Amino acid sequence: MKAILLAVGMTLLVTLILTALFRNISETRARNATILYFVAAVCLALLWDWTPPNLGFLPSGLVAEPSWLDAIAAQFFFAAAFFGGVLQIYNLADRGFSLRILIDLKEADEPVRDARWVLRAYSGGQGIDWMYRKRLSGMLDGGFVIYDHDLVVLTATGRRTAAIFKNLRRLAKLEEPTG
Amino acid sequence: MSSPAAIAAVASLFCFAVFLVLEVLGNHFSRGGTVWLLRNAATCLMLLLISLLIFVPSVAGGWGMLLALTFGGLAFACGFVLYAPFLYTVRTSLSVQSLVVLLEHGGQLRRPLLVGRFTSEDLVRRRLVALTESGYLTVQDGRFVPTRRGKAVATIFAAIKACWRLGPGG
Repeated sequence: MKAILLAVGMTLLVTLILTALFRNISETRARNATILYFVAAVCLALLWDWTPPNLGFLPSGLVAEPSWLDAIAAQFFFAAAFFGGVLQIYNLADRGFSLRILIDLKEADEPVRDARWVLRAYSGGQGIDWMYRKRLSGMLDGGFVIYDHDLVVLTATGRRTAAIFKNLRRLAKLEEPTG
Repeated sequence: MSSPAAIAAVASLFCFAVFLVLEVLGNHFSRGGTVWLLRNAATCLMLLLISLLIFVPSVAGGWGMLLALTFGGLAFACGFVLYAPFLYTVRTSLSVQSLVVLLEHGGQLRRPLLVGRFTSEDLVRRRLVALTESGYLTVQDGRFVPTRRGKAVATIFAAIKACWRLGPGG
């Protein structure tokens, strides 16, 4: 139970710090978040080590044994809460394609709302082209592609990544990607 | 292995492994999808809870059972929240699909062709249909309108975006 309580507490603290960071620094948010995670993980390990197994109040039946399992569990629970929770919410809120369509449709006051409307009105009027330029920019910054005149070319990293995902998509019997 | 936490750890690992195998089989032999994912997760979580109810009482009393159920259930849930986004990245990420398309075209493609493929009306229509099938949208007089569930999700995330000052995004 100590692992759970410490992981929950650290997740809440990191979420508050991340909120302050996001509100004040608009650049390199994902990188800042990742750095914060590693700092917090070290703090969690130290906190786990410095606190008694029962945190001073837990009944003995709620003390997880062996202690190394509890220590590992604290890190696992925190990592899942951060990467699967907080960071995923950030990714969805900042980049989610379907979510953005949903928000646009909810906020729209125009009578015609079909696919053509979405193409034009996507992301508060920035349009679908803007969305894909952002994706291309991300692939470029991540080193997955380079531009060669008007060609988009996979780098070695891009090829390896594409091959992995192609195999995963084939395993899941997904159709040829069209978006 | 005589501690509730250790039993819960082993049981949750086993049940999550079963979950992953069922996921691979489900996605390979049928369409998989969100309904399969949730049913699969619920079934394996139930298997986990039943396992704990069978094995933990022999080593621990009331508090120990509570620890095992919480520990094991949370471990399984953590595995699920790490797996689900990965699955949806494989299925729906436009960046991932772009890389795969480039690979299938010999590693390169003219930018207008690539852009045209992922900014088409057909792409948007398929997303609107997917949102409708998932219950976030409904069709009224030919218009796509958010359902109550869709409005709730949109409102929550709009509030998160405002709190984090993320801008329109998308």
